Amino acid sequence: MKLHLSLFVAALSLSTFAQPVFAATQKPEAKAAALVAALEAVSPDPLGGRLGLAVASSRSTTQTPAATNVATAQVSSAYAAWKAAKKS
Amino acid sequence: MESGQEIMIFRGGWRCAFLVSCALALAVPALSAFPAAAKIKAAFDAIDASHNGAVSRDEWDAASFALFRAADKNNDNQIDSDEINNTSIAPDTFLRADLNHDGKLSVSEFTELRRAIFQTADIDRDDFLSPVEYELLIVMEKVGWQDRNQNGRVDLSELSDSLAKAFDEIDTDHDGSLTTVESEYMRPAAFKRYDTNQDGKLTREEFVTGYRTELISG
Repeated sequence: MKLHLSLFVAALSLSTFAQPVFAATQKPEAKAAALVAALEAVSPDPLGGRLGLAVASSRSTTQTPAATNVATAQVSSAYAAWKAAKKS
Repeated sequence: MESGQEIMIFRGGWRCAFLVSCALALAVPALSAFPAAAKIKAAFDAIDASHNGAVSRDEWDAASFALFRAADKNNDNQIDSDEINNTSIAPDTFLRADLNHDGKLSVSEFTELRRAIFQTADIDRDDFLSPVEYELLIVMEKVGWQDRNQNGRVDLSELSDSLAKAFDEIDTDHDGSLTTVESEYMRPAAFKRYDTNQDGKLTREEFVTGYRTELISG
């Protein structure tokens, strides 16, 4: 009986102390998921519907390859940092 | 005889219900073409991580990364054709966004187009999106805009024409004025402010002038 009680107290303590740890690890991802849900509720197309199409059409004729390469590196590195922050 | 009458009444009821359903099905898309103001505000607040009432370029990028990550189901830093099919990205937009024509969208291609959209929506060019600019972005996603000089931006000279075009699409009953139902996407305080004669409706002139004044005066 004492053993059962000890196990129960240990399990309760573990779950109490573990909750903030789980919450801390889930929080950034949960926040990102909430952000995506809020955005999709108003903009189903993440690339801007008719606006995005018009922007893409006008943009594709004005970009230079050199500028594109610099932007690619910067964005990729920023995205890697963002993903790392979501995991931490 | 009684059961026959009951069947007739029953059938009549179903017919009536069917007709009402059809009418609602036809009416609802017209009313819900634009999301409600509360949803637009919730989306704006979610992007505005600093809660300062304006969306910065960094906050916009963070939102773009979250959208990209959500679409990139297998987490390989690319949105491929299978993943594209699970999104609402328009095929024509995808073809134009795929700058290296490899049939996939990299995070860079995706984010660069999102940045260009930010730049277009930033009508006063202060490098932030205000609530009114974000509201118009949502409208322009549905109706497009008049980019006469093809520079990818909404110049002030193009603004009136773009707003008039938007008005025509928002005015679903084509009576030349917007009710609060037709303009449910609009911030309620803005509707009241734009409605200068306080008749509970917005004429095309009130709509265009209201937005122009708010955008120009900041």
